[in-house]
Amino acid sequence: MTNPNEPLPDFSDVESGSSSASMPEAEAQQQTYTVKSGDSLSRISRQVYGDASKWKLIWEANKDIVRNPDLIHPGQVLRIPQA
Amino acid sequence: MSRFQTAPAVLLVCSIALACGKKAEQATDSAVAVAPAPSPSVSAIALGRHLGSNNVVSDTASVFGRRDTIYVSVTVQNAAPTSALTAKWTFQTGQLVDSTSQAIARTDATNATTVTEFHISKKSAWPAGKYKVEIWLDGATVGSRDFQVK
Repeated sequence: MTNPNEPLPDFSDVESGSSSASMPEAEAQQQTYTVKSGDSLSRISRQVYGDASKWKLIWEANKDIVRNPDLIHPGQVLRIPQA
Repeated sequence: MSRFQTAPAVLLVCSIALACGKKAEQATDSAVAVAPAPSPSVSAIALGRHLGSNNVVSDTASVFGRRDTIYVSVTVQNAAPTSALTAKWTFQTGQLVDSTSQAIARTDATNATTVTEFHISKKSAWPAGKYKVEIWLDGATVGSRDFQVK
């Protein structure tokens, strides 16, 4: 909980930028995610799709390397299909 | 068949065509109405410290260091040529950190996928705490991601 008497942080020196690019369809189908320690398919799904319940999409796209959806290993590179 | 013999046939065809013109026009209008252009949608929002090719975050993360540059990549399907994305970054207090808008690139008319990246950095260290980035597409919120700075 934040302290109402605490001064607000200063964000005046924040620098920002942005850019946009079209993506060839072949590459759009090939987004990847490298598994880190502590990851699970549902956690990755939440990070990538914003919805943990879509983990099956990731599993379906990676069944050749992930036979058990509860068992993924750090360093594995997973294909991330479009939701 | 002589020219004089073909004339009545041509007139008949023209009359039928004129009579059916209005109906044909209506049918064409209906066909356009039932096949609208696909609406734009966001298929992925990813936060991380680095970008890979085509603006996609290469190392998804939800915890950042106080000196990190924070990237968010937003994948959009079927964006209209005039579509724009906005990333609104806020601190745990609700305080606005940054808000940036970016027109979505559509360099290839047959290409329905675009990736837009936004990034923020801070000359002095980020205050530790919880943050949120909210993504807006053409004025409507389409998703958000929470992250922490430690």
